[in-house]
Amino acid sequence: MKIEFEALYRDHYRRVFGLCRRLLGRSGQAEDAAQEVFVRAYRSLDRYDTHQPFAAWILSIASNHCVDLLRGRAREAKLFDDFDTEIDALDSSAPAALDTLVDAQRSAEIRGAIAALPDKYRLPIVLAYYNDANYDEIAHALGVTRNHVGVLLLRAKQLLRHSLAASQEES
Amino acid sequence: MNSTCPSELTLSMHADRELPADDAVATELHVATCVQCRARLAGLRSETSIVAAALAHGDEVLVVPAYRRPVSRLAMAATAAGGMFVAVLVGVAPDLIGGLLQGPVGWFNPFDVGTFANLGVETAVFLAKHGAEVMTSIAKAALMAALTTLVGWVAFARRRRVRAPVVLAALLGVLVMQPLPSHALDIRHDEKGINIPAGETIDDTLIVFGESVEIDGDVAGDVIAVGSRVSIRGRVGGGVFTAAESVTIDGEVGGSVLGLVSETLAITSPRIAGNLYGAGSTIDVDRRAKIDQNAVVAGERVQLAGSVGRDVLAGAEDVEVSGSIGGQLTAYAEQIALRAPAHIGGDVNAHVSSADQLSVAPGAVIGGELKTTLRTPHEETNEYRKGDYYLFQLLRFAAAFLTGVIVLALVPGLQRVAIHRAGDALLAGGVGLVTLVATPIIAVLIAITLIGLPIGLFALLLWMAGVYLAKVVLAQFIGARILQAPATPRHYTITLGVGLALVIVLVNLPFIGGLLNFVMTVLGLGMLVLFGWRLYRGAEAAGD
Repeated sequence: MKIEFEALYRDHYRRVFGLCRRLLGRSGQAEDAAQEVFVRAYRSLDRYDTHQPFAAWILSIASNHCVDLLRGRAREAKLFDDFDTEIDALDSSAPAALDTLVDAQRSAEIRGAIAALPDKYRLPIVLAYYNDANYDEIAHALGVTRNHVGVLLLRAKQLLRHSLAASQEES
Repeated sequence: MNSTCPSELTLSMHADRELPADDAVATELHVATCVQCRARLAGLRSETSIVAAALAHGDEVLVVPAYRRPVSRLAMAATAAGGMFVAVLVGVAPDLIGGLLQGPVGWFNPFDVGTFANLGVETAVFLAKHGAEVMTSIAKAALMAALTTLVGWVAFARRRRVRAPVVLAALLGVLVMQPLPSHALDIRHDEKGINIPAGETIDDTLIVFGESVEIDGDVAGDVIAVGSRVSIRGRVGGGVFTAAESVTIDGEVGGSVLGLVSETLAITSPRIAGNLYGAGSTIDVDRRAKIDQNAVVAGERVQLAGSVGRDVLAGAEDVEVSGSIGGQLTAYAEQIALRAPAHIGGDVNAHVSSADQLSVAPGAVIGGELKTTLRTPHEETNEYRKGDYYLFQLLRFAAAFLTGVIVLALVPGLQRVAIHRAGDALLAGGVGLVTLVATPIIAVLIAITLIGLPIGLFALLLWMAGVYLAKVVLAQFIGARILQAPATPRHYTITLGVGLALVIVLVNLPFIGGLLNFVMTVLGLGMLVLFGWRLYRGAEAAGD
C-alpha cells in the first residue's frame, strides 16, 4: 500500500492541529501532539482502511492521543467523575443559553473560555461541536456512558455561560 | 414552566439530537404546547451553533510546519541500536569482539574471499579455545545492549507514558542478565587506577580499564586490560590481551599474550604457555622470560633475551637476540644482531637491506642455516609501485564486477536501490552497522546450541555474502548517480562498472582508504538489508 503521506500531511495538518489545540486547551503542546498523531498514523498506515475517509481516521487518532495525554496528566485524579456526581453538579440556576450574535471578538472570547474549561468538560464539547462526533463516538473515546456525555456537555455549556457572563460584566 | 416540563438535560440532549426515539417524540410533543420550553430549546440550539461557530474559527494564521517524514519504529530501533553500538564499539567492544575477530581490519575487505576463509578458521579455533568465556561475555554484552536499547527507547518516547509491558520487559531483562554471566566475567573500571592486590584470586575473566592497572593477584580466566600503564605480576590462567602505553608482564600466563603498546612491552614472566604477539615501540623479552610457543613481535626495537619454544617472527628497525629459540628466527630489520649466548635451534632468515646489517657474535649458536635475503627498500615500502598490486586490483574489480552483474540480473530491484536523503543514509548506516556487528554475534550465539548450529552457520554465510555484496550495491548506486541521465537510463552494467572502479580507487587511497572501505561497507550493507526488508514487507502486504 503506497500512500503519499506527505500530501496527506499537508492536507490534514491544520485540522489535526486544530483539534489537538482545542482538546488540549490552555495546557498547550498541541504542535507536539499533532506531530505525534502523524507519526502514529504513519506507523499504523497498514491498518488504515482505505474505504474510510482519511480525515475521519486521523482525527480519531488525534482525539485518542489527546485524551490519552490528558488522562496521563490526570493520573492521580481520575479524569472523569462518576455519573451521579456529575448530575448533581448541574446548575439549575445557570444563566440562559448563549444566543447573542457572535462577532469575531466574542468568538475569540468563547474559544478562550472553552480552552479554560476543566479537561473533562472541554473534551466532550470540542469533540461534539468541533469534531461533529455523536454521543456514542464521544462516549467511546472518553470511556464513559452516552448519558454521561449528555450531562458533561450541558455542564460544560453552563460553565461557559457563567464565565462569559462574568467577562461581559467586567467589560 | 411546570412539573411536566422536561429537564434542561433532556432539552440539551434533544438539541443535540441524541435523545432515544421515544423520549425525542415525547419532548417534541411537549415543546409544541409549551412556549417556555420552546424558547429554552431554541436557546440551546442557538447556543450549540454559537459554540460550534466559535470553535470553527481561530486557525486562520496557522502555518503548517514543514513535513518531516516520520521515522518508523524499525528505523528508530535501528538508529538507537546503531548509536549504541557505536558507543559500545568505541568503549568496551574492541576487547570483547577483538578476540573473536582477531584478524586485522582487512577482513572487512569484501573483494577478498580469502580473508573470510581465514576469519572462519580463526573464529573456529578461537571458539574452541575460549568459547565459554567469550560466549558469556558476549551474552552479557548483548543483554546489556538490549537493556540499553530499552532504556534508550523509553527515553526516546519520553512523552509517552511508560506502560506496564515496557517496565515488565526491562525487569525481565535485568533478571535475565543477572545470574547468567556474573560468575564468568569481572569488569572493573576506575579512571585513576586499579590494583588487584596480591592474595586476591579472581575466578573469572577479568576486564579492567584505568589509568594504571596493577594486577598482583591471580586471575583464573583471561585478562583484558586497557590503561596507560599495565603491570601484571600475578598468575593468569588464561590469556592476556592488553593495550597500553607500557606493559610489564611478570607473572605466569596460562594462555597467549597479545600486547599492543605505544612504548614498552616488557616480558619477564617465568612462563607464557601460549604465544606472544607483541607490537610496540620497544619489545623487551627479558632473559628470565620463557615462552612455550611462538613469538610474533613488531616494533622499533626488539630485544629477545629470554627463551622461545618454537619460532620467532620479528619485524623491527633493530632486532637483538641473545636468548634461545627452539625453532626458526625470521627477522625483517634494518639491524639484526645475534649476541652470545644466543641459541637458535632452526634456521635464521634475515631480511636486511645490506649484508653488513646482520651481525652474528662468535658465541651465538645457529642450529640450522643462516639465510640472508637482501631487499631494496623502495619496493618494500611503497606497494603502489608494484605491478602485482595493480594486477590484483584489476582482478578484484573483475571478480566484483562479475558477481555484481550476475546478482543484479537475478535481483533487478537491487539495480534501483538508492539513498535519496541524508536521513536515508543515516538509516542505512545504522542498519548496516548493526547488521555488520550483531549478525556474527547472534549467529555464534545460535550456533553454540547444537540445534542452532546449521542456522547459525547459514546466518554467517548469508552475512559474509552480504558484506561482499554491500559495496557492489553501493557501487551500482554511485555509478547511477554519476551517470545520471533522466531521459535514457544507462544500462546497469555500465553504472556498476563505473561505480566499482571508483569504489576500488577510494578503498585504495592511502590513509583514509580503510575508513572509506568501512563506511561504504556499512552503508551498502544497510541498503541491502533495507531492500530485503521492504521486499519482505511487500510480499507480506501482497499476501494479505
